[in-house]
Amino acid sequence: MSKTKTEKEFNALSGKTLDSIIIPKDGFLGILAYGDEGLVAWRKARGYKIKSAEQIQEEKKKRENE
Amino acid sequence: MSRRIAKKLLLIGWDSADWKLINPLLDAGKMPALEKLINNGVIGKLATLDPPLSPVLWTSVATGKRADKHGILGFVEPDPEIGGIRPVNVTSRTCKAIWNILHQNEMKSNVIGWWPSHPAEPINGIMISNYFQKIDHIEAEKWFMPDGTIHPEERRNEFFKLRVHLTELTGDIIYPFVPNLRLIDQEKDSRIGTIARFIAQTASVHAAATRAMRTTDWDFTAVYFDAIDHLCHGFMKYTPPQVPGVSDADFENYKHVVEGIYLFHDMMLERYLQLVDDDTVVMLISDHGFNSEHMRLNEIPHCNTAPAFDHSPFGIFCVSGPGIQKDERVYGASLLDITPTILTCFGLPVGEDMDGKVLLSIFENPTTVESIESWENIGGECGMHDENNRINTTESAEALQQLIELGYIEDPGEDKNLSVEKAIRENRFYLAKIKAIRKNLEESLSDFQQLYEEDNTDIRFNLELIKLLVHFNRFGEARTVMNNLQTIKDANIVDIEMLDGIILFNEKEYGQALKIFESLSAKPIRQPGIHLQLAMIYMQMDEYEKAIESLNKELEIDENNTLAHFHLGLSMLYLGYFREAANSFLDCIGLNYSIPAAHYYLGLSLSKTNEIKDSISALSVFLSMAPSNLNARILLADLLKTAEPAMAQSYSQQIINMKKGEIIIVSGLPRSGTSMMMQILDAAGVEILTDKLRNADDNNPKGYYEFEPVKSMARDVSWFDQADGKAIKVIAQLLKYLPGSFTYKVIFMKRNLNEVLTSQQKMLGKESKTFPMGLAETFKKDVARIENWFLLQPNIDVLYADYGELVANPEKEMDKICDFLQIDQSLKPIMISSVDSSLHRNKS
Repeated sequence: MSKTKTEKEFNALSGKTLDSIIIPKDGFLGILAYGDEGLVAWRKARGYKIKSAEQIQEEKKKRENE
Repeated sequence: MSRRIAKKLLLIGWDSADWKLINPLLDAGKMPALEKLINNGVIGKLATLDPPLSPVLWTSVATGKRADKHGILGFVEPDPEIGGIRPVNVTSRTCKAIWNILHQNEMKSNVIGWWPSHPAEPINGIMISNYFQKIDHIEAEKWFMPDGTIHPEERRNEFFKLRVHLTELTGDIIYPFVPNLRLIDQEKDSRIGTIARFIAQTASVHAAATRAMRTTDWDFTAVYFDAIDHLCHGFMKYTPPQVPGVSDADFENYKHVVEGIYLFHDMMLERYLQLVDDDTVVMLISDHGFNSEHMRLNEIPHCNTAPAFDHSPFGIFCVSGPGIQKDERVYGASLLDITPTILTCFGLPVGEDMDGKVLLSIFENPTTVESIESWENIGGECGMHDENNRINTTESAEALQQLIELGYIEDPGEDKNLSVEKAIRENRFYLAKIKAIRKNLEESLSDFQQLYEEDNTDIRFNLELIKLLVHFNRFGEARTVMNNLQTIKDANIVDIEMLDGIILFNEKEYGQALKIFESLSAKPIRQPGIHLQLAMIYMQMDEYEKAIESLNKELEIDENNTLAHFHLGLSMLYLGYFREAANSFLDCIGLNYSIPAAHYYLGLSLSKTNEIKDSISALSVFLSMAPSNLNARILLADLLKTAEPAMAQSYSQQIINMKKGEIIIVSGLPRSGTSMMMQILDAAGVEILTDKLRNADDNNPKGYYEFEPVKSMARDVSWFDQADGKAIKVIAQLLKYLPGSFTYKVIFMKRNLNEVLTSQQKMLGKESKTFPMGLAETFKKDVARIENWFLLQPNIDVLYADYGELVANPEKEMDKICDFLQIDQSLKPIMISSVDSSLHRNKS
């Protein structure tokens, strides 16, 4: 995956303009290597939802009680 | 307070990163971020510590102290709440870490994923504990986060959402590591899951670190990654070149994993370099290296901490930023030096109780190091836990399971008491090792004896005990333990033949040891240590050329073998190749700064090449490590006498105060006139140390003047105090065993070798017509070697006395002797009269 393509993808994913940001390397691994912002953008693109700590804790408690 | 060099400092830890694996990637342009860091900064090798276990080592990094001072002794510890064991907890750390010291100095820190750091400490800043990224549930939605993972608590949910679960990863993420991903049946092959787990955990830590850095004002950020270590343990065997036992399919499928994880770390490094400004010092380190290529082990034993056998002793060090030198190298750095160096970067004093030193050579400008007795004495809030803060045991049990799966600890099973007993024993093992490192050898031996009594099936207890028993010359007991070792399952990883050879070497049975190591070295294997041992035997036999050959072979196998560099230096030194010797000692020090003898011999070598300033500097370092050494002071006094006479005088005074005394030694080859010289000294009123056990005879009508214990000097010199202020006869071959705590005036007798040999033949009742040519050649070499050896002994003054001259022209020779020993000239006639010219019977 080319750097330009990666940058375009990142723009699309994050909704940010990345003129000032340099994506470190090729592909999705590069987006992950970009840190928290890359992770958030990558998830947004895939529609990946994260539950909150409280939700998971409540579900855990519920399972334990069952 | 000293000048603050760094406004901010970012410390990145890559567990197990090794230059040997990085360098080819740098050469291929595959790690551009690291290359940028290297080109703008200082690099070096970072010596690891013993025990080579990550939680212990990373705590030493963060404290500047060894494990006996910081309290983290292994992977697990007893759980005081519900019994059993749990992964080691940060509350077991018994001293302040760098972030606690910075907290006390009103600086803000972010600490992400440090091992161990759970529960997160309440520091001034953000701490994300090492439980944060650990995936303990196969379903992302059931992946709970333990309490105490995030500090401050109010940012818990924000960071919680930055964790990456392995099921979240898509094929695109895994492809760079495993290009054949689609060909692998994951139902049958769980290795993809392992790779995904560590990529996900790495991404979690990285996301948290970047978030913390972006959203806080910080002075210090420390972030730790363990994926290089874990993936090397799992996949180094598939890394090219392909080794026997690895199938073609596995090799093809997994040969990119290790390279892949390094490249991923470089990509993350690039992001860190974007996130820091020009005022930030960036320091990248690893706690040890990882054996690769021919150093990979075919198998590792089944015992606790077995994966540590894969570790190599040098990690990486790279630092760049304001006030740091550019494109330079640092030598002799250790993990213990990181905290003292960071404190200096922040203009803070170093604790005198820290075991490390400040890496002064990394700084552009001369830097003053200030010190305080101990940071532990500085009271007040420092962001550490109070005594009562304990972690939830259920959560620690999950983390414990991961350590078991990774092979770092044995499955403790159901028996909680047994697992606690094992954990405590394991910690005692490491404490015993540290006692040995701190030269507390008697206590260490006693500890290992006890450990061996409790469990003589642990290979490590056997090996450590053998090492110490050999040190204390208890060879019989060492052999008993060695015999036990042979009966242990998995002991085939220990080369018993080599161990036997090492014991023989220490018993000074050089002939037998030589046979073993010559045979081992002839085998077509590249096993580290064999050529080194062989070289050490050659050195004992004064065969320095052969030693050099063997040492070069050892260094071809392992260029990081500090002992091989050291002995190469010694061999070069004894052969008079002073420049080459200095280079070898520099190589040795470059790898391990804390070998005092290497500094001494470097100073000695440089004094011979007239590099006086550097020689003085090396000797001064040596004296800072070994302040009671006499030879270094004698050498320094001599080197300084022109340039700095006051300091030379001060050293001279110290020599007088320190030395045990001065002894006159009469030496030479047997039958070179040593007894005659003893008679002369006797006549001059010099007190002689002799037991008169050997009576006068035809060969020595006036007596031998010998002292029986001299014969066993190689084994025992404890009687040497008796010789103080006296004269004693020591044959040339035993001179090397003279204890270093005295100064010596040596009168070395020289006599025509034909005469010496004829006299010896006659004394032995052998036919004098058959002249032993081989022996003549050996003696000639011996004398030349001893003359060279004298040049390297600052505590020895030598006078060469010629037997022939002494008999033919005693007046002149007596002048020299009187002058050398400061004997009153009025005694000269009586000394001359003691020489019986009729003794000169074997004149050639």
